[in-house]
Amino acid sequence: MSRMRGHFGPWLFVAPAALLILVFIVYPTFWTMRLSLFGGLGFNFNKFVGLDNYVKLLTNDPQFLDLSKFPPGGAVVNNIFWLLVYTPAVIFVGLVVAVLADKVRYESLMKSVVFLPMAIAATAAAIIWLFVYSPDPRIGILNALLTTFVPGAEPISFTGSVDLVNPAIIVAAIWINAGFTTVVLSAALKGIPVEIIEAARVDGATGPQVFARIQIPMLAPTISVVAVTMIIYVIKVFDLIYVMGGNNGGPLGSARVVAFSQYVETFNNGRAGYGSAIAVIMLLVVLPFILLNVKRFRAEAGR
Amino acid sequence: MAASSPIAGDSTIPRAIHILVVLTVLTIVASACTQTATPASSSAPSAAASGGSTATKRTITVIANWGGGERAAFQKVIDAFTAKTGIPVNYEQSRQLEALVRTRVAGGNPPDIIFDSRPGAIAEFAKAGNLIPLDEPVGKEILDPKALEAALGKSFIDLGRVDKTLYGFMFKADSKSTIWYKPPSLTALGGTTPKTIDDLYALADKYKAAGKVPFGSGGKDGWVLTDWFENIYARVATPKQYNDLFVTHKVSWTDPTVKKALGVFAKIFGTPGYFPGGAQGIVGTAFTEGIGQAFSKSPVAEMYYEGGFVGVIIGTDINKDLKAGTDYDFFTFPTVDPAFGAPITGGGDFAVMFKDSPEGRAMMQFIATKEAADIYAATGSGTPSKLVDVAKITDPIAKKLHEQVASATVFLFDGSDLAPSALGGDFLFSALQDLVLHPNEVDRIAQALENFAKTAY
Repeated sequence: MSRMRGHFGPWLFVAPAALLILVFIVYPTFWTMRLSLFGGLGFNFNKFVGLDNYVKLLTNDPQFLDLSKFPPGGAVVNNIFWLLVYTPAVIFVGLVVAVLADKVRYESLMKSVVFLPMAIAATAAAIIWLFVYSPDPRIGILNALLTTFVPGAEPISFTGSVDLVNPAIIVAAIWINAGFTTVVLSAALKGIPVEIIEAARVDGATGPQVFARIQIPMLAPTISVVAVTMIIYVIKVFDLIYVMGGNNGGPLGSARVVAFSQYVETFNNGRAGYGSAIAVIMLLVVLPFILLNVKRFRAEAGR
Repeated sequence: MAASSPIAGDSTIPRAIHILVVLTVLTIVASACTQTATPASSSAPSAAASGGSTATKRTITVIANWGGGERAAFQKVIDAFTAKTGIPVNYEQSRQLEALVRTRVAGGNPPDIIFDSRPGAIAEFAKAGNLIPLDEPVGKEILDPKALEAALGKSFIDLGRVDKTLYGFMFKADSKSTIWYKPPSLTALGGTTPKTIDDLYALADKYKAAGKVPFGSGGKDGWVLTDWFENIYARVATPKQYNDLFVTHKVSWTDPTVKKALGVFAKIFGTPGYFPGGAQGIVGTAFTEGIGQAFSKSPVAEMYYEGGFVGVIIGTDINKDLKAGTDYDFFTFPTVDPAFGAPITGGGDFAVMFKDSPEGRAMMQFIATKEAADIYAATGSGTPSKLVDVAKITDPIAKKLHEQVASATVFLFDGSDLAPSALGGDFLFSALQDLVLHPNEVDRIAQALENFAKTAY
């Protein structure tokens, strides 16, 4: 009896969670993969097209990937731009705030202020930034400053410009998430033993040297965890673009990212198979990062 | 407490399973009961109805997407119908109208009547054999041809046809050929409402010369741009070409008529000073923000183009101080090529029958009457019916909108709603924004649209 329980006991405990995961994650994932091989309108398996959806996405859909012009465009390229600009920037801001706040008396107040945007919904934050960027100087503070301090300057339509819309949304994303990176990095910073820093000081290290040679290397594991989290955020970012870029994903669709394309194709255009193909591509892209994170968690747990 | 928990744990696991088993059995038994009970309970009333008096009439189910004020307006029509015929109506509202109806048809429980705004979807239902024809067989038609002709113009009747058979009766219609303006501002300028596109350019230039910006924009919402384009295209091509471009793609996007319309579009949107903030401002301004540019309490523009619903938005959301008809008003989108006149473009809802019954027929016949049209029009709702007593419409804008629609000789349905959504609801948005930013590149954009359209049908 007790041996029986030894066999079944763990399974019994895992069963409810496993069942939920099976029904709500594993099954839909495979269903999506199957759907991605079908064409036509709606969620049905009527028109088998094989890998046509993937071929079209990667070779003949300028909104998704456009290599015909320079610089290349499309949702994939925008996502890469996000990765290259947003990820380092949000970590840099978080690091700077964490290190500087470490030195001052009103540290918790300062960190609270930076963390505040995390407490509001992304859609609300996006609307706030739409006001900031408004081309009407009576509404948008940026254009108000511009037209006041630069004589004869024309207001800039930040979200209406193909070139400015991506950086503009990225700034909003940094504003939202810098609080997260600050708090995590600040906690890690506190974990660095004071003795090490004091020893470095005694050996004559300057402030910047302590930062670059001691604090940064000791923060490296934390920074990489934060980076992976932010990379996953970038790959699935949607809400900011939907609100700030409008239902078209920015002027000419120039602010679209992969997750946005998936939404538009599936629900707006009714091409569920095509949208599923995008979802599968997204899954393949995000998978290595998730594995990396899982591996790291295991390593942490093993330590 | 903590010490006793391992012992309790040993006994609770089997007990939990025991409870689970009992619950499962109960559920199975309960569902079996309801399954056997359903046919019994549904057969009982029908037996009673056939055996009893025929005075009790069957309730019919009507589905439409109207909620809020639109629902209240239609409810008045339903109430009048029930009061007159004694037939109860069960009104259901759904924003996912077609998805709901498809599942009900597949489940063998179609509604009696639905109001559908997409001719493309009606054609799909008709071709699948789900719909009851309204003009067959001759002599026993559901809608008497004479009554139909009395109620609707040919153009509206034809919109309800699928391959020559009539399936839909157009009950609601909204114009999208309206340019909104401020009469006091026009008077102060010394201008008049334009009849032709050249008049419109002249008026815009006059505003520009007076240091004002003629139009509010709204091109961040791509459908505002497609509506502009549809109005222009309807004025440089025949109705057949219009439908062939959007519905079947028999007319290509590189056709000279299309390029001409794109050229007019590029001229309006590419002229400096016509819109606040220029091209960047146009694609950075959303639909309601554009209305605000022209009609808010501190306006920066003088006119705004979009459909009949703009009047309602101005009066309720943008600026309640403005008075309809005196502070804001509209004129019909001007002609481009006099040969093609000024057709009205717009949208609407068609009554479609899924189930034939005397009660359903009574409803279809009732909504085609003057009585129904009068009740509906009096609520300020747009109706295509010619029978409406215009004097009963109290709101001056609603009255004018009704006259514009009901007197239309040609009514062209919103083309981007007729085209596949990937084209009309997505790619065309980006292409027209592209044209706003690059007004000199009509050829390139026409070619891009054609390339996309080839894969969309």
